[in-house]
Amino acid sequence: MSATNQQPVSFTQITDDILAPMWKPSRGYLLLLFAAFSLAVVGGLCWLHQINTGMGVAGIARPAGWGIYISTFVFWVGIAHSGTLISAILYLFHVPWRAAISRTAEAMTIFAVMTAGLFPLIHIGRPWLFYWLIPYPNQRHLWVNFRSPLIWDVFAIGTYFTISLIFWYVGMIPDLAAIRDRSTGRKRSIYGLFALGWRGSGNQWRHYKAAYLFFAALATPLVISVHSVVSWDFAVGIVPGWHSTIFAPYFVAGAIFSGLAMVCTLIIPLRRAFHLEKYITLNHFNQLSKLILFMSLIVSYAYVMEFFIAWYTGNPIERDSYYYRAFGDYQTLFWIMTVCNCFVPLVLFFRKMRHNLKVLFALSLLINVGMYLERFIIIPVSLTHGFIPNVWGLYTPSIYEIGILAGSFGFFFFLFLLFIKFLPVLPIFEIKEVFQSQPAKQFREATS
Amino acid sequence: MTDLPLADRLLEEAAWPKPRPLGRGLFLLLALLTAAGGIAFLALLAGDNPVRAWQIFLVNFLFWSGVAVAGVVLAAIFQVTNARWARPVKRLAEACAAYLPVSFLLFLCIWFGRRSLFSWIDQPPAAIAAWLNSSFFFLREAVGLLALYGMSLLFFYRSVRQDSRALAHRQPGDSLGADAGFLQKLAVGLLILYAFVYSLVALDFVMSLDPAWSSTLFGAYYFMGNLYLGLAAVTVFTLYARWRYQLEKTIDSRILHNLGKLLFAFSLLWTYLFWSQYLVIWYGNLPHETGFLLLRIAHEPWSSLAVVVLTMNFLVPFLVLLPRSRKESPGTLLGVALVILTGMWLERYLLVAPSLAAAPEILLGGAEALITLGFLASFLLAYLTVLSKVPILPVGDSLFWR
Repeated sequence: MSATNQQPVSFTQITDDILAPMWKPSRGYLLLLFAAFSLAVVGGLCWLHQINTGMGVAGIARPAGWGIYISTFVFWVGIAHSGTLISAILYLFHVPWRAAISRTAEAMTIFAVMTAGLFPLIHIGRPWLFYWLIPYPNQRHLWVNFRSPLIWDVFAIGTYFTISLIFWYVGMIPDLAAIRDRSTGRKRSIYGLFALGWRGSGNQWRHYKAAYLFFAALATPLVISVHSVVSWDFAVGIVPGWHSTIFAPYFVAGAIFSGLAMVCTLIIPLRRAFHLEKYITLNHFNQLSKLILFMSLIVSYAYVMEFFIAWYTGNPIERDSYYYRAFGDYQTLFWIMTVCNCFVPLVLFFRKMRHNLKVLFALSLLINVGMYLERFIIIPVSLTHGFIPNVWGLYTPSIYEIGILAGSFGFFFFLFLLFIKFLPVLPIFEIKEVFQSQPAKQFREATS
Repeated sequence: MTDLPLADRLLEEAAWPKPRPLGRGLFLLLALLTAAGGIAFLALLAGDNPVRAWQIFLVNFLFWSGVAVAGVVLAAIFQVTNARWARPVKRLAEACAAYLPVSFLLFLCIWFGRRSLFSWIDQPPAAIAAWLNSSFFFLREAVGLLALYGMSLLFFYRSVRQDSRALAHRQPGDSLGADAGFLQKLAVGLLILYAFVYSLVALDFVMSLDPAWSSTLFGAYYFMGNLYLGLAAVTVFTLYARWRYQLEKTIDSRILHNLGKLLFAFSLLWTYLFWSQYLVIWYGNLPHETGFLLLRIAHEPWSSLAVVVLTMNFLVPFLVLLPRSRKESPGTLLGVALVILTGMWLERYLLVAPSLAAAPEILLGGAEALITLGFLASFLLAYLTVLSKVPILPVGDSLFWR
């Protein structure tokens, strides 16, 4: 525990500290914003080119009909998981340390779902017909195929996005009111509009708390269901390497794993840039690291189990597809993935490492690389090596696919940077609660 | 709790419940039931269908060993997560370790039933003969179970030692030697080992009964289900101790609420894992995968049993435990926990029996009831005997006092 935490902090001080990033942007911030925006523009231009020319500019061709568009989609949906995990599941578990990181994680969730949502549109090739994915009554009585897992995705992700957005917004209402009270002019009216007339009366707080609990309870099953449904896009097919019963819980754990890593990637620089050491303490990273380690162990368990059962079936095709994964054309990627996801996180068993932010930051980047590669290895690589040897092939992403992938990072970081500027990065009132409540203090002392 | 300093509160040791000896009548009854179960098993074994005896033996071995292991594992989870609320429950959970030595003896007995239970024992399937052969099978299980049981017993021993030292020195346990830190580390190791060994148990004792079938989720499904039934058992033990030692103040409605929430969550988790496995197999519709499921859900009498299992483990806990007041009511909680225990016993039966049955019939008669009662009695005998010799509450654990 840092020594700063022991100093008494006044409530006004908390509000000032947290809202500080919102007032005047620094040059560094503007530069980052510009860089992210440019990257997003590059991605957009690549997409335009693809729309203009046709899907041929992408590297996806038989046998790999699903390439990095789908991998990237799964990656971003995975990133979206930790926000709701932290704000809903940890809330239900009465975990006091979640407060300081919940807002950032939730914002990350929203932006990651938005980024992920672009990829099915990019992948379908004719994005202007996106509404064909949505079932609605029509003259020709044409309906979507409800038995297709791709349609389950539309529902799962649509619901998840809606609930996450509402959850995020509801959680922000008291803070929006705090900003309103500290600003003037047009800014005051805009924040006032979104604060929905919040005055902080006892009655409002009572309703607010009840609503928050219900949202948390409703959002919890969604954390599990979204990535389960995404995993079934693959698992219900009979492609070797896809058809595996463990996929749903394993994808959920992997998603939380990568999501928590992304939280670290975002929060460590954020904390430093805006001097939030008082609120985001080393203990937070200690707890986050433990969760990351736990998820890494689950993911490793799934890898081992998949390989073992592939062998156990005695089925030559099943065995070969896993052998190919580890020792075939894409073996380098496989071993990088294994090291990043299974071995490197083991350093978190050591308490010293959990408190070392440099290590943690590097680790979070490696995990993101590892988890991206995992999706790549599962999706296109399995497709390139199916049942019939004479349709085996290789998949290499084209320059346009890479451009769109890079653009998605630009898009995500652009949105996130805007969030830092325009909304409070920490939930002000929850921080105040944590600073006041006795059990939480004891907990911090006990676990620091 | 009062605001007195910890040392003073420990001085008031007299205020804390002393373990009570097991009543002579109860002891005799349990011993008698255990003996009756043993005799029923031997009688069934000597009859014309020894598979029937081994089948019910295996189901009970898996179930009661599962309770014993899950109790310690839940205590380890409370330890790792710094669960303050669960401290009064910790001892009641970890005391399940009492049955572990018995469980190991029961495991050794399975050696004699291997020909009745495992169809592959004489002719291992060629492709996986390196894995499914009787010497490697019993070797890996013996090593795995010994490691898991040894570690669990060590965890229990160090946790009790922390208390007795604290009581002797009138000081909180973590200031006396390294018990608390050691327990924390041991708990992490125990959880990892549990996932590994219990996956092995699932693969070996259940999945290999039908060697043609496999599922990557089955290990995880099995060990999470095992935690579910362990949690139901711990809930029952908690309510028992609350009544017997008048612990209404220590085991208050908050703890009951939390136990109720956990049971509710585990019922959802169990159903989720079941569904994750079912959906993938159903949709893929590959013959070597569907056989296991079809036998259990599309053929009488197993399909009716499957509906009962789903109702008892999902519908009942889900619907009954939804409102908060029911989670806090000791009577309702006890009822639901007993339904879950029965439901999970039937689930383990449904996993084992259809793979072994020569004809499609549920062989649950008087002999099976006696054997199951015998297992129950032997478990209670071990559990209650140990519980009568250790502090009921983990008074040496500093989180207990916070």
